[in-house]
Amino acid sequence: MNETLPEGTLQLPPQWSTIAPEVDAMYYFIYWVSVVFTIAIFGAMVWFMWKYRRRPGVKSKQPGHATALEITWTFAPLILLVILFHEGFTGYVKGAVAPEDSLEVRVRGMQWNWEFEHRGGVIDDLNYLRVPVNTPVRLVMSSSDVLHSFFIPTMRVKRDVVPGMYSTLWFEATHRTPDITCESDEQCPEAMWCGKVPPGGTERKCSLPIFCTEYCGAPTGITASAFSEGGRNTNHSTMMGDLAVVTMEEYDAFIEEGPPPPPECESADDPAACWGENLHSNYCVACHSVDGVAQAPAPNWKGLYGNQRQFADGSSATADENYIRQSILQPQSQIVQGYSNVNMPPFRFSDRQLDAIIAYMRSLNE
Amino acid sequence: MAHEHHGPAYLAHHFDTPKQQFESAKLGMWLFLAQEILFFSGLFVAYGIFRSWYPESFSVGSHLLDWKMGAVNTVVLLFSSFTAAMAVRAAQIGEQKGVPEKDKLQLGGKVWTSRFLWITLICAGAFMVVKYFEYSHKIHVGTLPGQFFGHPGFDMSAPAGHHFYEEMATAGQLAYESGGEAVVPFHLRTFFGIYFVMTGLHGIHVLIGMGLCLWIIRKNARGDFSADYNTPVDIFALYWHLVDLVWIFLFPLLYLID
Amino acid sequence: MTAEVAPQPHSSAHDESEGYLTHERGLKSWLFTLDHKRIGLMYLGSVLAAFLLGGIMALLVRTELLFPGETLMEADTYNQVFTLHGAIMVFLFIIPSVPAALGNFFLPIMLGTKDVAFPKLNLGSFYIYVLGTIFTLIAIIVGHVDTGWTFYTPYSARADSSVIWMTMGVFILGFSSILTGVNFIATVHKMRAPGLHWKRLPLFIWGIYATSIIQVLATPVLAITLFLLTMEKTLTVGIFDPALGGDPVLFQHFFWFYSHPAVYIMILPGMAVVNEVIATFSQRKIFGYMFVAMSSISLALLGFLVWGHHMFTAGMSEYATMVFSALTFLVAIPSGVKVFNWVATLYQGSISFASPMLYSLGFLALFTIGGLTGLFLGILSVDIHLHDTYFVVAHFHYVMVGGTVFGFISGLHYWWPKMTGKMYNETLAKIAFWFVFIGFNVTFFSQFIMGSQGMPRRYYDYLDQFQPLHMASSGGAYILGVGFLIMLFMFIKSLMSGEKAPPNPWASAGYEWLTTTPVHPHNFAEPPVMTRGPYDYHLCTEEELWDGFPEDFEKQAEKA
Ligand code: HEA
Ligand code: HEA
Ligand code: HEC
Ligand code: CUA
Ligand SMILES: [Cu+2]
Repeated sequence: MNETLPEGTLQLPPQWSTIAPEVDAMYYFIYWVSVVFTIAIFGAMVWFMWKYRRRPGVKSKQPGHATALEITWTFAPLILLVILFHEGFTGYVKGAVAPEDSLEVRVRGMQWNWEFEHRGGVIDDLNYLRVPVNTPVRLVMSSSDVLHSFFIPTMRVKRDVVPGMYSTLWFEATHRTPDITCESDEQCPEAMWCGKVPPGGTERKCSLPIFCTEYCGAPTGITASAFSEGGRNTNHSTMMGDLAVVTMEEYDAFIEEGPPPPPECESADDPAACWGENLHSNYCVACHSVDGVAQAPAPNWKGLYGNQRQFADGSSATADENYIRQSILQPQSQIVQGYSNVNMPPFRFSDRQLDAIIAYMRSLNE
Repeated sequence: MAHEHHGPAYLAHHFDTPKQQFESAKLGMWLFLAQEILFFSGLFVAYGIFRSWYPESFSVGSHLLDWKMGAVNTVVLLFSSFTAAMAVRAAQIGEQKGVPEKDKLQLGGKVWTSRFLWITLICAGAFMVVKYFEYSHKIHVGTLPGQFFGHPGFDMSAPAGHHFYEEMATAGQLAYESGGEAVVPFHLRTFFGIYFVMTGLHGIHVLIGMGLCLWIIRKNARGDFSADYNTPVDIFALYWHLVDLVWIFLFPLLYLID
Repeated sequence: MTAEVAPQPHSSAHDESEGYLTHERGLKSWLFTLDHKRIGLMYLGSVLAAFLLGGIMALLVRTELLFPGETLMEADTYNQVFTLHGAIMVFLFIIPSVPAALGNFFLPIMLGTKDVAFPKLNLGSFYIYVLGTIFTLIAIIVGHVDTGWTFYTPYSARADSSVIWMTMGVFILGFSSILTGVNFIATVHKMRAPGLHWKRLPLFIWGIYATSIIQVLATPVLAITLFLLTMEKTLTVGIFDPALGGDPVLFQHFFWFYSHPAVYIMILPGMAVVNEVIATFSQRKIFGYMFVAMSSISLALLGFLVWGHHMFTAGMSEYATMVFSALTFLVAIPSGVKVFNWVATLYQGSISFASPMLYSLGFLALFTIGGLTGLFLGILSVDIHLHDTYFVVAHFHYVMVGGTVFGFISGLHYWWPKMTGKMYNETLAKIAFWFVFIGFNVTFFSQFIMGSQGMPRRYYDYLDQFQPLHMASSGGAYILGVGFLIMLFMFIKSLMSGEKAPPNPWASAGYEWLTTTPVHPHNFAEPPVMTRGPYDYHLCTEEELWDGFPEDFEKQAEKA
């Protein structure tokens, strides 16, 4: 794929979405209106300043009434403003209503990471969003803590992510993002940054940055840049994500197989268990320990596999593959005794990821 | 101030005439009241929004308030507003020195000003006493805002619910699910949040009004007021009418839903 | 009351030593003064101190942003610094700057009266301001306020409890502002000198009057909002917290219902000053006087209807966004009327480029840019892209610094001789102006570009691609800082060793220049009667427009 990438201007980043040209046209329209007004006003100002500078013997003249002039400059701009408003509003409506056949992606904002869930419950790596090119994509977004805002400059879209409600946003990317490996932002094309290592890859790649534009704080002691702790962001200014635009075929393949295992596991003794451990430390470690001791807030995983489980409703079952799979996809279906007060969120992993987790659990028993 | 004095003692040096002084004070007070109205309007807007979102919670919440106490307080405040107005009248009439006894207006003069102000003050006190009983009852049963809802005495470690269900039951608001569990509308806590904020702020205004009233009583006792000069009594009464007015809105909106 | 005296030209017979600064002495005579002039000066001191503090925070922000990653401080500290910068600049500095400091001093003088309607209330407002400041300082010292100046929930509801000190501080400051507004409105209505009817009212007064309306009607909504936020943090009332069934977007509506009108609380006084300065240094009546006066009032009223334009991305209905966008454009009309009329005032004037005028002309240029970029933000589809980027930061600094601060500084230069009785070094003032003007543009113009390129605001760390522009912006900020330091030095020098100022150094027809310098404790030795408007240069006698000392005028008259 070697198509030419869109280029930006001095003022605006490259146009990477179908609505970008319209937004930019609007931007440049108001820009030129402003330039004309500014030149007119500054011009008149400077000319009068020169012409009527104070000179000995020359007195000022007192203004008379100029109602016609006043009325003109009160109402003439109004016409311009009506045009501006109308155009801006039509553009906005277009941007606000997603086409019927849009592909949907769920977005969850949390301090300070983005999680993306695709069709079929496929969850990609944290802070990594891939979308197919030339396809309208609709993001359905929610927040689990404070306000965030989802912003992709190159797509000209932005929307607040609000706890307690869903907000949506859509765009249609017009270009595939090139596969360029990089070490720093300078090596990337305009408006791209050197993002994180894509899932399954080994080297950092250039991608389109996603920003969080609603202030969401920072813990103390943070000085480093994005993705500092094992793929996790640490504060509002680094609550960034990578947007990779891929072809439809690549996207379908991804949905089919789910995200690939992390490359460091390829050479591991037990690649599946290694991947499972990786998933555990990304998603489950907050609640589940694996040391065989801690049982709060959720059951310990050591010795869990193959064990007899007692449930809150009095029934019981053996923790086999099916049971574990069920517990991850639909945690509320069977609640382990003593854990009725904490709700485990459902995780929709691909089959390969589920296998990996089970392999990891088994390995804990050895 | 070293310069020559130019009018009666109550005329501040920067005014030319008592009329100017009086009109300025009155205008200032009206502006202040406009400010007060906008201050409370924020609360009324919040009330309106949440009531339209959660009508059942508000209806249930309203039944958990004691409308009788609210009604008593409404009457008490209305009466106090009346006595405040009478105090203004008494101050405006003044001492009527030299007026033949039969031509004198009734209930006028310093003594009556003072009496009416005292009645106003006592009514305000009575209002606060009733409010105290209402509040302490709510704190006792746990009809409290937000996360404290259901926990008596704002004590998060206290067991939630017990008193509270009784309270619901006596108000006839306790419904049961098919499984036998009691239904408590989630947004009752929002209702009580708004209830406490609105009545609390109003209560603070009543307390401030009581302070002002005492201050006016003292000035009156000192003989500061006359038929010519009674602006402070007048603007205090304006303030007091506003406090009354706010309550006139609060009472039906909180206690008398549906 | 003295009858039929034309505006009393500075009677040289009056004893100079009886100026308001010296007729009473000692700390007590200041702390318990009811004199609006002294209260105005106390405000001026506090407000300048706040400006210095906020400015230091700004320079810390700019220094941190010199390079990506850590330069000076960690992310959390940075968040506190920009929050304090915004909060101090807005609530402690810019809102009280012109109205409470310059307005307090000159409003009664320009009305030809002895004082504001409620002098005790005026002193009370000042102490309420001090109390609010103390709360704010406590929040800074004991705490950890990192919510941004907008205090958005639910972040602020969950943040450190020291935020309560801050919100209570701002709550208290709000009442200072409200009471000042009440005082000024009553004063303008009831205390005008004989002959000073509404059509002669100086435009400074019109501007302050319009500001006061907003202060009285908008500030209480901020007060109740912050009160509810405080309750949210203590009682958890659950009005704004989604976890308890509240609505975080409701907070934003409440906040901007105040804070948009508040931006007109900030700009109207700046415009008010500029009217006086442009008229004086063009020796001309402001063109379209009544239109300019009415545009202040309509700005004040329209300002109440557009708050939603801060929330285009927050999730309002399409219908609401449309209405707010349309109304936002309407606001441009009265602003435009002002700009056009100011330019037209220069026409056929006799323009002098003294330092106050330089700042006012700077205001004109920078406010135009700031205002026009406001229109970019008012356009729905464009705002989606620009919202919460540095474009917005640049927009509001152009209107707040290029606008209000330039207006304030212009007024400070303009009225300095009347307030202190001292002249300042004009050369130094001009040098400072060029530092400030150039530094300002370098700092904030670069921010427009990085903003439209997508640099989000409130970012401690940023992509390498923005580094050159950030560097330029920081460099500009240092130039700006040097400019203000030169200005500070110049004013201190003037206080220590400035030449004695004549009563009317700028040859102005404005009413405030009719009284002696330093100002008489009761403003005018004889209560004035206004027989002409404040810009009627053609009706002024030569003596009224004499820019030297009265004695010299007499000498010259004798010679002639
Ligand atoms: C002094 C303060 C001040 C002033 C005067 C203004 C004036 C205006 N502002 Fe600004 N604004 C702020 C302070 C101010 N603003 C602040 C602090 C913020 C950010 C807050 C935050 O989020 O922290 C902000 C944010 C802000 C936003 C939200 C941006 C966002 O967050 O996405 C918007 C959107 O519409 C906006 C618009 C405007 C408009 C249309 C004006 C108009 O009043 C401007 C009118 C003036 C002119 C237009 C120029 C002169 C007119 C002419 C020359 C006439 C001819 C021109 C035409 C008719 C085309 N402002
Ligand atoms: C009146 C308001 C005001 C003023 C004057 C300023 C002045 C300045 N501001 Fe700021 N600013 C805000 C209001 C203001 N600001 C607000 C509301 C925000 C948003 C905060 C938020 O997001 O929550 C903000 C945010 C903000 C940011 C964005 C931070 C971020 O989003 O991460 C930046 C970055 O560059 C910045 C920079 C500056 C600079 C360089 C100045 C310079 O102009 C400062 C220059 C001043 C000095 C250096 C002081 C010198 C003073 C003296 C020497 C004493 C004076 C005495 C006499 C003259 C007698 N400001
Ligand atoms: C918010 C806390 C939380 C997170 C995060 C979490 N869990 Fe759980 N999990 C629980 C709780 C509580 C239980 C016990 C109650 C139940 O059975 O639902 C549980 C139970 C389980 C069980 C059944 C265990 C048993 O004892 O029978 C499995 C398997 C499991 N989780 C897997 C996972 C996986 C895999 C992840 C990460 C991808 C994960 N959990 C993340 C809270 C969590
Ligand atoms: Cu999330 Cu900022
Ligand atoms: Cu606004």
